[in-house]
Amino acid sequence: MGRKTRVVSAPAPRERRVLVVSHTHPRLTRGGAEIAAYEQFRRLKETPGVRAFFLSGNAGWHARRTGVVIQRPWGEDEFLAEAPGYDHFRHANSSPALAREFGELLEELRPDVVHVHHYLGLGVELFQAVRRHVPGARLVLTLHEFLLICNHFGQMVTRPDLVLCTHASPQRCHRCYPEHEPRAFFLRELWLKRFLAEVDLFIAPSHFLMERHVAWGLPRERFRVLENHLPPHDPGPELPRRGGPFRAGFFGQMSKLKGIDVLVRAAELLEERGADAVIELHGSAENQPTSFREHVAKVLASPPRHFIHRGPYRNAEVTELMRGVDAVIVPSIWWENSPLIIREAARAGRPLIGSGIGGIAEKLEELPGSMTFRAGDAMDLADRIIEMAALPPEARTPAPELEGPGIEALLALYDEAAALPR
Amino acid sequence: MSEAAPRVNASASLVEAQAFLEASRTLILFGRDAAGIPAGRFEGALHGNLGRIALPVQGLPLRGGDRFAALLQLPPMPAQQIRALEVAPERLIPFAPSCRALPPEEGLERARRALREAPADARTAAEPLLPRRSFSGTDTLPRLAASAVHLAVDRALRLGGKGMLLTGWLLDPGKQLAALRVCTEAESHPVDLSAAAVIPRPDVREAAGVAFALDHDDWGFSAFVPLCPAPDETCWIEVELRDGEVGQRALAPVEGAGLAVIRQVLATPRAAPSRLAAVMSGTIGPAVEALNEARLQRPRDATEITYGTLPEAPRVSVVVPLHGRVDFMEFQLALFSAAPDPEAELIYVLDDPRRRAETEALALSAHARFGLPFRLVLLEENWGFAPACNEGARRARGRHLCMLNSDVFPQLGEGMGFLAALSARLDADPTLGAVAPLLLFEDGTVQHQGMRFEAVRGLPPWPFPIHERKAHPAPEGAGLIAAPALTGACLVLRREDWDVLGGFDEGFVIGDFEDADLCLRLRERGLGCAVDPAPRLFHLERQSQEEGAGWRFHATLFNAWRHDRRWGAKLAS
Repeated sequence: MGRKTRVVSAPAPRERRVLVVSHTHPRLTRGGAEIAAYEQFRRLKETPGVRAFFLSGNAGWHARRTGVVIQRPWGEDEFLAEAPGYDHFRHANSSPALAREFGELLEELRPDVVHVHHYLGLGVELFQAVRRHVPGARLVLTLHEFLLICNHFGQMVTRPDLVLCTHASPQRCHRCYPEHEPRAFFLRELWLKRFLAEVDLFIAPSHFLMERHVAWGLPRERFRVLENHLPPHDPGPELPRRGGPFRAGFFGQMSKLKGIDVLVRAAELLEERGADAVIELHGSAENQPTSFREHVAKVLASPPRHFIHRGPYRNAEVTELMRGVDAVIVPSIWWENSPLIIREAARAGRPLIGSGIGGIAEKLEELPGSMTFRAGDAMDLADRIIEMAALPPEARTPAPELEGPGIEALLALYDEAAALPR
Repeated sequence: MSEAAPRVNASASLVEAQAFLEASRTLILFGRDAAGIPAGRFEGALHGNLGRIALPVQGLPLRGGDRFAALLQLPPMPAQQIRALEVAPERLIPFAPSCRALPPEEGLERARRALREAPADARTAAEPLLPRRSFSGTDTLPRLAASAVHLAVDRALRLGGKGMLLTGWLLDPGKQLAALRVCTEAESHPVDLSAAAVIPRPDVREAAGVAFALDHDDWGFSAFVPLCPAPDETCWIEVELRDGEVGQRALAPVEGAGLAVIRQVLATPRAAPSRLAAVMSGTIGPAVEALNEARLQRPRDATEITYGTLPEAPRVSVVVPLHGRVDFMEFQLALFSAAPDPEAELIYVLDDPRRRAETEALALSAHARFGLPFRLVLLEENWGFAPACNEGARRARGRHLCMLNSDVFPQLGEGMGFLAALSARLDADPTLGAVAPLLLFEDGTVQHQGMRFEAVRGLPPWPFPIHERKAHPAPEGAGLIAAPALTGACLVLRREDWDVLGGFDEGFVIGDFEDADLCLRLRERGLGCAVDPAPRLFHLERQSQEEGAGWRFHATLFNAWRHDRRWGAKLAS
């Protein structure tokens, strides 16, 4: 028997395998985090030398398959995971089937990088699963809000009064949630941090978000600030401004935390002062709690004269609609991270008037011509609108487009993650 | 037998009448001038024509000392003429020449009257010498209403053959009650209301408050009697008034068993501080002890499930009892998995059969997610802390044992590292019996750094384990800190020592004092206890809601009472 000669060929440039994980898929829901995650996946997929995969939670939007937790309804590199048994307090998923199938998938895909955009629904245990099943893979987590720190939907505003909150502690959180003992919050933090300890690199889209998490105890040396990827969009040609009053537009969900009440009150003040300015509202309250929907319906039934509800809109229309206003308002009464709406307004070339807090203030600082007002203060907002309306149109500075990061910046972070000591 | 003629005492004491009850061989003496007659049982003698017969006497001084009665049980002896009663070595009380022999019925009636007048202690001691009244089965308690005495027994709880706990209420505004006893054909026991627990009965006050001018609610009682009739034996309660009136009513005892009943008894309303010791040693203590002894006799069925592959020859076995919050297991396993100890075997013991399905599901899920191997022992009933720990330890294979509470959690990243540190301490010092880590509150201050023993103000004068430096900043330095005792929340010891000592004493109830007791038993064998301040874990102590549970206070007090009887004197010396 002759010996087999081994043919040694030159090693092919090593393919980089990246698994992007999101709590849901943009085909199912249209939140900022899943759009950003999917956009990143799409760009990674187009990048030579990168093999990208996308795993998202289902959260009940897509039909389930009996006996299977992870299904592949949209091709071979996209996976949809059922997430039964989710604990929203600890962000734990106790499903043994998910643990098993996710482990098997990791071993099959052998990713070099697992980039998680949201653990919501899937559970923070997935960080440990990455360590256990693909020990060599680097784990990157992009944070989108303060959900790890704050049980109040990650908004860091108190419950029920919606007062801005600066930091979490078992006692403080217990005051917002009397139904959970202080020690439940202590354990929640211990639980979350046990799994966060597996993360090699955290990405925060704003410095503000990063600082809050560093103050909460996550290691500063593992943080990088990087904006999310926006889907490409061709805004088309700018049309000449029509006449009429100064139009300040709001775009988005009509929710209490987005500052709807501040808008309504500011419109009343504009009317009282006889200002030549109106507030236009684009969006609806469809996903809001019943009590707030009723409140909105009441307001819309007899709105102030300087307040115009333009109705819901499709995301594809947003640039065009923004170009129909003179400024975009971001009146959120919570901190925000890096609101998509700011980047969309910048892309539409409109100046912004936003609450002077958190991620909004940070992003507006980079946009000459934009203004901030005291969060929650309708009088200050009305003043800023009047102030901007008083400028001749040509003196209003359009916001410059905020360049999103290229895929190279992301790949460079993956390299940094690989270089960090574990 | 003395040949000397009895010396007649100079006092005027004289026996004037006697009666003899043939069936019980009880001799009843009545006389005048009680000076020198001890109250209650004393060692006396009868002097007769055939000599001196030493025997115990029950003395009953009466009416402020002008009269007395005495009860004696005669041994079998030849008939003889009795001449005097010896009440002390130098003191004889002669029989009057006119000493009358009363008919037995009259003697018995007079003796009963004498008992009613006698001090309570003397009465209690003498009563068993008299034959009991028979019970016709008729409820005659209502007869006592004429004297404004009302008694109801709502429940007679049989306590595993060791006694009964009677719960009811009693109204006696005129202080007419002379005696209260529980009887069977064979036995009779007084009900000691001075050691009974007081139970507020607003319903009694509402119903009778105006008629009897009741100005508070404390008319209910819960009292222990060390008499437990057989299931089909007739049993009744008997009330005797000062005027001799007697009422009887049948009791229908119900069976009480298990931890649930123990909790019920422990949930008895708390007595005033000055009565706590009496109520514990006279009512709650004996009742709980009887129930606990009975329940521990039952066979302990259990199922065991193993998750994953266990270490072949573990160095240490970690035993964690689970009750109530089984989800703590999930936290522990998650945190342990950050730094596993391949030489440790984890044994969770579910002591809460209601949560079996939930616990098994959680175990399966925790194993799938965290990958740590562990054993799960499922007890078929709720046994309580000590038995659950002992069951887990019985299955342990490691040469060291770590007894661990489910609400003790390692700090981030430390995982199971504390086990190796504590094992090393034991290996390094053969005179060390048990070693515990430093336990911290959520805020990083000391929860446990060893325990000393001390009485607690407002509680009976029994030693209680007191946590050293509780809520102080964590100590500096890495040297062992010697301690009289350690908490069982987390302690490591040799399995060999555990086996010799028989583990935690199951006579304590619901999880308290077992740890202190174990440490003192180690000390008796010449082994010390210490805290290693280097390994640090969080201990989320019971929160106020649970502490407020009605039974918790009496559970602690019961254990303190039990602990005091074993260690009180030794700790004081």
